[in-house]
This record gives sequence, C-alpha cells and structure tokens, in this order.
Amino acid sequence: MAERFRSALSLSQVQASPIFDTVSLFDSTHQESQASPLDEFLARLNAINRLAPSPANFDHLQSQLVMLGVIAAVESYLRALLRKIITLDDLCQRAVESRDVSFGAALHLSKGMMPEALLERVSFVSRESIVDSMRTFLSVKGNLPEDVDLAIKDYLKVCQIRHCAVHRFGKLGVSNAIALGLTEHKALLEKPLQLDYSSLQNAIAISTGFVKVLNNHLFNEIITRVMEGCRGRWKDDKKLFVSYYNLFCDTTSAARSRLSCREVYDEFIKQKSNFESGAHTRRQPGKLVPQA
Amino acid sequence: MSEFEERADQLSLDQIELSLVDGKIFQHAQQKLLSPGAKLLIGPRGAGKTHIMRHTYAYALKNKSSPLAVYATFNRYLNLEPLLKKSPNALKKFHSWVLARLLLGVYQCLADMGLAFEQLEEQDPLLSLQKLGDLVSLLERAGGDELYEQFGNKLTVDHVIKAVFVALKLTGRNRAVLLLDDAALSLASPYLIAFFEVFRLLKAEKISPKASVYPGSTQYGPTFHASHEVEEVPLWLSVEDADYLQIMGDIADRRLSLVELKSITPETLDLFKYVSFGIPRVFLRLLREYFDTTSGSSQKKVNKIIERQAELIGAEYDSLSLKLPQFSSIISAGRKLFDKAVADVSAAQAADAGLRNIILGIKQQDDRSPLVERMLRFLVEIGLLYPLQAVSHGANRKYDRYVPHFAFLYQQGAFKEGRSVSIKGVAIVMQRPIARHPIRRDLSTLLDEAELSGLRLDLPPCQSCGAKRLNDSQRFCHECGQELVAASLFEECMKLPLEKVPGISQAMIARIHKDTKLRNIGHIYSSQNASSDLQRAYYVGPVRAGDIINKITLTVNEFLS
Repeated sequence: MAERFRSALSLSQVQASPIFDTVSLFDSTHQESQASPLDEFLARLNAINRLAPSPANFDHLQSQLVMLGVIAAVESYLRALLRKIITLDDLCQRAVESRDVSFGAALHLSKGMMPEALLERVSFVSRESIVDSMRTFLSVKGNLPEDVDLAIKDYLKVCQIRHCAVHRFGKLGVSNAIALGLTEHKALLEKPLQLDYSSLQNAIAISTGFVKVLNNHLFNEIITRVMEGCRGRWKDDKKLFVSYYNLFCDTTSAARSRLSCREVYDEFIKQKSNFESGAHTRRQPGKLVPQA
Repeated sequence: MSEFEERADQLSLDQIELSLVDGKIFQHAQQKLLSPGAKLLIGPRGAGKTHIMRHTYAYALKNKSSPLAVYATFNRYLNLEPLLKKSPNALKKFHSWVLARLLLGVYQCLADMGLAFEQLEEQDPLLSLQKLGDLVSLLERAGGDELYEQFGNKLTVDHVIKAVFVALKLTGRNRAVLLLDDAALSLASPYLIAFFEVFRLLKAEKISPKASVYPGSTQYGPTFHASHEVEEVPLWLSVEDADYLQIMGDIADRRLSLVELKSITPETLDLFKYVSFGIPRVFLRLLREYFDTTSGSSQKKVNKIIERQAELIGAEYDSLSLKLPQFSSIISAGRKLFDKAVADVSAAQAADAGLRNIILGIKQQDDRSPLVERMLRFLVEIGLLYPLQAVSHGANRKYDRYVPHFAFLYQQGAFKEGRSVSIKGVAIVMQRPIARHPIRRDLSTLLDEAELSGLRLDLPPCQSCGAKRLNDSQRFCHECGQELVAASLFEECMKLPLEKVPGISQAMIARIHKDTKLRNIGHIYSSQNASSDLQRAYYVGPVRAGDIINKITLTVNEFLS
C-alpha cells in the first residue's frame, strides 16, 4: 500500500519539555498540623487573601485565581475535618466500616490518614455530596438548621462560578446556568465572568461563612452525641470533651468565641441541664417587651 | 412644666384623634392613606408621619365606610441589626419579624374594634397570637432561635394576606390598608431592601400597603422601584405654603390650653411657626420651652429659645456621625456646607429689602460623586434643607433648589428689620414677592477644595494589623488577610453607660452602682426583670424603677431612630 502523505509544517517552534520531577514537588518532611481544621483553613485563607488584587489596580483573572484558591482551602478543610472525626469517633468508624478503599491506600497510608482514602472520590461541589457525606461518614442525620441550609446554598453558587473558571476559562456554561437559575442567566450563556472586587470579597465571605457555620453545626451535633451520658463533672469529662473540642476550635479568627475550652464545657453542661429540667420551653419575656 | 407630648408614639389613640389638624396637606395625606394603591408617606423626623398614621388608624376603626386599617411600626428594626453581623439567616429572621409584627397588627385592630379573634387564630396554627408575640419580643432581644426554627421561619406573606382577609370578613369592610410606620430603616440598608420586597408582595387585590419613610432616600433595592410602583405622598409642610401659618396655628390650638394661648403674642407664635420650619415636633418643643421659661424680656427670651432649638437640631444632625461612623467626614462636611449656605442666603436676604430671597440653588454637575449626593441627602433627611423642584437656567445650568432651615436663617440675621433682629421680621419677609432666581452657587463655592477632596468614607482600620481599609466593600484585610469585623450600631448603643441617659440623677446612678451590677443600657435593656433588678438599689421602688426604665427606653429609641 502506498504511503499516505502527511504534512510536516510547523506553526510555532516548540522547545523540549523541561524535566518535571514530581517526586521533588512535595515536601516529604512535612508533619501533619496539630491545629484544628478550621484554624488551618483560616491560616490558608489569610495567605490567599493577601494575594487578592487591589481595587485600584484590579485584575479579573487574578480575582478568579484567588477564588479558586479559597475553594481549594474549603475542600481541604472538609477533608481534614471528616478524616479527623472518623479517626477519633467510634460511631463514625462503625458507620464507614463496610466501605472500600483502594489497595494502594490500604497498603501505604498510615492509620490516621486512612479516612482520606474514603473521601478520594467525593467532591464537595453539590448539595447532595455535602449533605450525604455528613450522613454517611459522620452519621449526622435529620433536617439541616436554616442557617446551615442557607450557607450551603450560597456556597454552591460560588462553586458554580468556580466551575466556569476552572473548566471554561470563566465562560458561563449551560449546566451552570441551570444550577444558578436559567431564566435569569440564559441571556448570559457563554459570556465571560467578570468577578469584580466586591464580588470576589463577597465570594470569599460566603465561603468562609460556610466553613464556620458548618463547623459550629457539626461541633454541636457531635458533642451532643458524644456527651450524652456524661456526668457533668469536668474531672470525668475533660479528656473526652477536650479531644473533640480540639477538632473544631477556632483560635485565629477575629470574631471567635472568647471562651476557653473549660468555659465552653460549662456552657454545654448548663444548656444540657436547662433542657433536662424543662426550662428550655420558653424564656419569660421581661419588662421591656414591645407593644403589639 | 407644660403638659404636652411632642412624640406621637407616646400619645394615646384618643389624644391622637383629637389632635390632628385639618390642614390641606394632612387631609390630603390621610386621604391617600385610606385610598387604594401603595403609597409612601414621606417626611423628615418629626414631620408628623406617626401622628397621621395613628390618626388614620383611629379614624378607620370608628368609620364603618372606611377600609380596614392595620397599623404596625418597625421602629425596633435595629434590635435585629446585630444579626446581620453574626447570623447567616439574619434576613430571613428579619422577614419573619416583619410578618409577625404585621399579624400582631391585625390582631390589635380586631381587639381595638372589640371583636373576638378566635376565628382568626383557628385559621392556621401559625397564626397563634401567643407565639407571634413571643417571637417578636424574643427576636427583638436577640433570642428566640428555637421558636424561630420551629415556628417563625414558616411565616410567609400569604399568611398576612390570609389574616387580613379573615379580618375583612369579621369586620364587614370591603378592603384593607396596611399602615407600615417607621419603615425608613435608614441605618441598616440590607433590611430596607428586604422590607420593600415584603412591601411589594403585600400589594394584592383589596390590600394596599402604605409605608412612612424619610425624604431623600431612593434606594429601596433592586426589585422595588419607588417611582413607578408607588405614589409618593409628601408630608413636610413648606414654609411657602399659602396656608402655612393657619395649619401650624391649628396645631397650637389643639395642643395648647386657652390660658397658654392667651399668654403668647400672635407675632411670637407666628415666629415660632416659621422657625419650626414645617416640623410640628419642633414647633411643640419651642412652645414648651416658651411656657417653661419665665425670665427675660420677650425678645431676648425668644432669641434664646430659638438658639437652643437650633442647637438641638444641629446636635441631632451631628449625632448621625455617632450612628453612622463610616459617614462622619461626609456628615461634618455637610454641616460646613449648610453653615455656608445659611450665611450666603442670610446675607442675600438681609441685603435685599424688597424681595423674599430664601432659596439656595446648587448647580448640578455630571461628575457629582455619590458621596456628595449622600451628604445632601443627610441634610434633607434631618430637615435642615427643604428640597424644591430643580430648575433649569439654560443648557447645562440646572440647579437643585433648597430652602435652608429658618431657625438658622433667623439666627444669622436673614430677617432683620433695619439693624436689629425683630420678632416680626420673618412674617414681613414672607409677605414680600419672591425673588426671580435662587441664590445660585456651585458646590465648589460652598465647600473649599480641601473639603471637597476630603469627602470620603471613614472606615475603621483592620482590627488585627491596623491597615487602612481600601473601600467599604472590603471584607478581608489586604495586608494580613484577616476577616474585617464590622461594629454593630445596636451593640454600641447597648454599651452606653447609665450616666449617658438623660434625666437620671448622679445620686441615683451612684446608688445603682453601689447596690447593683447594672452599669450600662444593655444590662437593663436585656434583663429578664429589669424592675426588680433596679429595686435592689437603695430608695428605688417600683415607681422609680419604672421611671428609669422609661428613660432608658426613650434613649434607646432616640439613638436608634
């Protein structure tokens, strides 16, 4: 058979690829941080925020990249938190015991890191994946409180924008438009994203809010469950309470609770005993109530 | 001390009914409140918005041919303001609070008509009077999470509409007006936007919402366009109104005793009418001072009283920068602009013996910044400048026109007769023909260059590293990356020490300090039983405690209104 003609034109000259040694890319001396996942998230967030473009000299592309960084930090927070809870909590361990992990993970990951393998195929970009992860990995069930629900909704909007930025260089795709509301967005299909200064700030605020709301929620759900049969004596409960408190504590943000671990414990015991004595039903309105 | 109250929300319905004057502007406003269609009742603080709304309410209660009127006030919206800083569902809670207040208004209306409201309660478990009342009072005291989760967040605008229809059936009226008082919500703009979304949805067949707001405000949110969704009803009486003296005179007739009326000369009364600049609350304050002061010759006494009122109004304006610290530079520049305007108008009026020359024209420029607009808006909102229609003096020479407050013009000698200030001066000037042109000024002649270029937002620095903020949409510090924490106005108010509450004596405060742990407004405001807490102090019984609580409530309302 006669050989087929193939053209050999060169439109641009290409250099040889440089050597890209992925082994040296990761820091092998890194020690897993002892800080809570929330503290870790906040430290990363602060570092990313410093890269945000200034309003005087604003760069849309840089703005999108900053947003991607923030979402990476959120995802990393979720993975770290789930892993640490599963490692610590018996009930969570039982909930996931029948799940499979890859052979490679089983062979090479340390025990504390093993739960990461469970999360390998989970992405936290849809409502189902976020809510299902809480249910299947943490056994946190029941209806979401309204603030958590709203925080998730807002965060998912940011995720849609992220999708446009990562996969389509900022242009609005059909599936994103559907998720964001087709009626309002149909005229904007395939139009490029203009993430201006205040929208970027808002997107970061929404992501941060999501992390903090979820952190509060999961702390309450899990600590209530764990401390169910507690006696209310710090001496007896200290070890258990502190181990969970350390998973969730906020020691960095400006608007953190100023209570110490012990004070949070006391508040917990107070709320619990108030509930048990039936005092939770209704606070008596005092003197300065409004006129109907 | 003279026995009359200048705040309409402190008057009983019976007093309200007797005290509304028949001036055209008030009649017109009342008619608009009762007629179908959404309306905005617009006037600065003290113009009589609450008064006319409550009067309309009382009138409609008794008048079978009137529509059903439901009254609800939203003056406590700032109690919910801290939520904006710490709760992701703040707007939803605010939404429920608005609806619950409206539903309570429906109940109140049935109660005031002497009707049983079981039928309304039976409609829906969400219409429980007890729960609605608890929800409102708990949300206003930064609590109620539980009740909100299981009850409050299920409330929708439809519940209000349904309740109004039940009330229509019970009362036999064929349509309803909803009087939404204190809806200016000027200190928490996210709530203002949320409020007008509800307002828009309340428009239904047979239901017309009416809201009272401040002049100058235009930002009601992206879904609400004031100009074509509602009719605006102005309630600020112009000093140039043909019936001005008569209408203000009616207010005096209705609120003063015969003895009091006889003890003041008509000239002095007219002067007070003018320098109160169309604001009944100021007029009543002037009169009260007049009857409370016994010393001094007439002219001197009157001048002193007007001076004090001007100071009070000025102080009210200046206090805006306490409430809105981010605008403090703009507010103080506004004061300078106003002072210059008063000086210029006074000089022009004093120099012109034949004409009335009281209008200031400020040239419109295309590049006028939003900060300048905001500055002028503050002056109008407080009532220092009365806005008139803009006029054109040729291409690119359009002028915004304002009348500066008469108390200030008077003090600056605008109404001198010959060389001296006289009581009759204002009335004489007001009878002269009006000058053909306003006193025209550029912004740059009212404020110098440094003042103009110094117009900026005063944003607090980053609380972690002290870096200056870049602009007001910044949420994270560009230097250290920390989230920027916004201060809550309500919480600032709660931190005010008891010493700042007017009318509580030093001795009393010393006793409270000695015998109780109450130190600031917040301690008393949020106490479960403030009265008994206060009674731990020596020589404080239920009556004194009640008195202190009232004074604190008043201070809080003033601060947050």
